[in-house]
Amino acid sequence: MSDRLSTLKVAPPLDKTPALVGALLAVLPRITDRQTREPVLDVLAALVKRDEGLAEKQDLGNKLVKWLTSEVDKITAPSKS
Amino acid sequence: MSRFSDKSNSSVPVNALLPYHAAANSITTTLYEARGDALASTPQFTELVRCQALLLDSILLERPHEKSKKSKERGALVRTWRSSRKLGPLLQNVLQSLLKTKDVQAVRSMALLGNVIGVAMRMKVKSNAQGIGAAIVEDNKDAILAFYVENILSSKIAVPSHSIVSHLSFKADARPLLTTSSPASYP
Repeated sequence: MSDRLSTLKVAPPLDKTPALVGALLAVLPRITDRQTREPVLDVLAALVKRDEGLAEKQDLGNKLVKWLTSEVDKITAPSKS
Repeated sequence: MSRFSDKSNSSVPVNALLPYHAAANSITTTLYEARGDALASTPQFTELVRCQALLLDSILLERPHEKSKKSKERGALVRTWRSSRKLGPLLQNVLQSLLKTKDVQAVRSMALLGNVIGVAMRMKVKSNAQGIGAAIVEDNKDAILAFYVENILSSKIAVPSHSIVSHLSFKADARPLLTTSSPASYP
């Protein structure tokens, strides 16, 4: 997967971006190998940067923060045992 | 009700936390590159700092049964240092955000706080960039000292061992600077 992502040369169309981000976020927590994880993070960063420069933002940055907050609260919640 | 507790979920393996830790650092630096200093005044910034603090604290928790944890911890720390360096002047805001935390949340912020201070102390000072490097620690020294006294030395809850290590690291990094200017105030 990392090979495919690192050779991604064409920016995805804007209307497909939320679906792509959703797919990347779904797979990201399962990637334990750092070298495989980095290209996924690079693609997410590139998509956020492109979005921040647009006149009509899709608010990807804020959506990523919302996703992260929700996941972190779940995973670092106090143990019940 | 507080979102935090003194009983962290140490049953979560480090491998499960690392992707989130990497994402938190990556999102923070990306948003900083895109939004600049304006990021510090957004609610997203506070949330990102809180997430980074929680994740680093959880990664550094004692896990006697996990082998090869040390190298993963080291990897997370290196990522934290790199990400903190990229934030440059925004480190001041990270520091202030961490210093506002209270009680259990403050204890869980300790690991990130120690590392942020370490990065700030080693950051090169540029004559035209105010607030970079040791000046960040100098500007916040009273708040830092009060924070450590209140949340480590006078803590009413058990302070995890990795937070104590963070405290010792803080002493090694910042003590010369702090004692030079206010010898009587450091515990």
